[in-house]
Amino acid sequence: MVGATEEMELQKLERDVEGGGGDVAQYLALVRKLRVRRSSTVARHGLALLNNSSARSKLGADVWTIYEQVAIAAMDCHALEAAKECIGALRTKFPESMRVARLEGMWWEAKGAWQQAESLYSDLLADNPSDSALHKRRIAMAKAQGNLIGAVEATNKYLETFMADHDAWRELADMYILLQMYKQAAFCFEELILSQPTNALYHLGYAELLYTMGGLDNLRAARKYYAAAIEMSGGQNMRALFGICMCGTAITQTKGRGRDEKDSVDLLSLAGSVIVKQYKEKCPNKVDLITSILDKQLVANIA
Amino acid sequence: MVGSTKYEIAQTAYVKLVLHALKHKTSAVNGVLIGRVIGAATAGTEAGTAGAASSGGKESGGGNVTIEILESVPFFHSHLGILPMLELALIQVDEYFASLKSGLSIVGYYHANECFDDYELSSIARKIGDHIARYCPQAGILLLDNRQLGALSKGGTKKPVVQLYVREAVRGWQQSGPGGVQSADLVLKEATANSILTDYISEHREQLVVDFDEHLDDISKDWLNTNLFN
Repeated sequence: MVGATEEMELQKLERDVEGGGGDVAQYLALVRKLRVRRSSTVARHGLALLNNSSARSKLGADVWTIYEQVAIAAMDCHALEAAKECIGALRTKFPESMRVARLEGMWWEAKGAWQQAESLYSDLLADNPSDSALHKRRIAMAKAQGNLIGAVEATNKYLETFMADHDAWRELADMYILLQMYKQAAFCFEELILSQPTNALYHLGYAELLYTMGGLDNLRAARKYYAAAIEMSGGQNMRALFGICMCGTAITQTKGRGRDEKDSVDLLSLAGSVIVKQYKEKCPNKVDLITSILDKQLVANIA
Repeated sequence: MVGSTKYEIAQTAYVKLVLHALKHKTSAVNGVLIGRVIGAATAGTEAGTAGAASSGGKESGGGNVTIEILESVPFFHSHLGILPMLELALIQVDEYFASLKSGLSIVGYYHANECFDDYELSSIARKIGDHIARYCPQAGILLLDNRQLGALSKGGTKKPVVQLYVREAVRGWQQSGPGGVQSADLVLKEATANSILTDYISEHREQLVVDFDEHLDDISKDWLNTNLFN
């Protein structure tokens, strides 16, 4: 995640760079550090920097990292010729490099030449079976070709070896959601919660899946995980607050009113009051809308 | 279905939804279409809010129906297949347009796929469409057509850069036009829509579009996007 101050810094630098001034090298370094995807800006200004020989000579050893960064950004924008030049420069400097070979594979991918990319990756994997980035390229390739089932299988296989890769679990969950295999997606989130029990986003994601699956037990569990997400985020997470209200309504609809509904109504009105407070502060023109919706939900739970 | 169904989309609704997809070009996006149904015998089902029964519209006989799409509301650019926040967005949008008492309600759904060369209407999009069609039987789905969008930058096309899907009783969602459902047609209300769109793209206005996803992250951002066309 990118923090608010870093985001501001990035935006300021980006404005300067787009305006023609500004330190492009500094901008590129920040983009790398924050791992954000700003391909079109990076490709345009990065290429201009690299094509200017006097500016390029001032970059020192960073120049090779920038070649790699710009190559990837150019491929993302489908500027294949420019990407090829960057990769060519790297190839001349590092003739044996595996990292450059990976870029070449990505270039074939960008071109849509899946077979060339695949055979290159298989050769590389034969020498380096434990290179996680290569495995990920193959998964990405299956996904790009619309082969979601294949991508899921490959990710599962990848996770047998690289169990601690949280992003991969998250990606697998997303793919299961696309396939509407919610149970399997929920399993991924269970893994994530176990490995990082204090991450509010995982509790939130799990709650949303439980709600999507529906049924009384799942809805009650969803409410608990939403509550956990609220606690961990210090009551700031709007999705979790709204989630509590949605769960309340859905539970009432599923089973009708019962004896344990006192707690439910309290929770609902508590979450509702926090939501309204936030809207009063930050979004006053929607307070009436939100209040009227929350009132209806509350009435449905009491009446 | 007897007679023909015309889907007429206003410039603002059209430009907004394409810009939404362009802002998040690396992910799938979705949203809803707001408008009214004119000339339908069964207009205004229960939940379709007050004024779906056409107010002052041209009542054309012979079973011809026009769906006027006047607005679009951008919803999500992540986790499209998850229910709770989608339900919340639908409730808020429905409630908002009902409170305006202008006779507008949700009359359709739009979707853009994650991959550039994917022209299929996914099963998630179909399901969300089914849900909307429960309240508005004439609802249509618009799917962003990347081929037409590409043609737009290469000198322009007068055709909309979205494909229309309509729901048939037995076969479910079917694409309109030759080889598909002949009786349904999508037209741009203003002939200038594509040139406005091209201008906005060159001004990078897509960065101004706010969807419901962003609203939930920061509620001071407004999904009504009233400033987009200023």
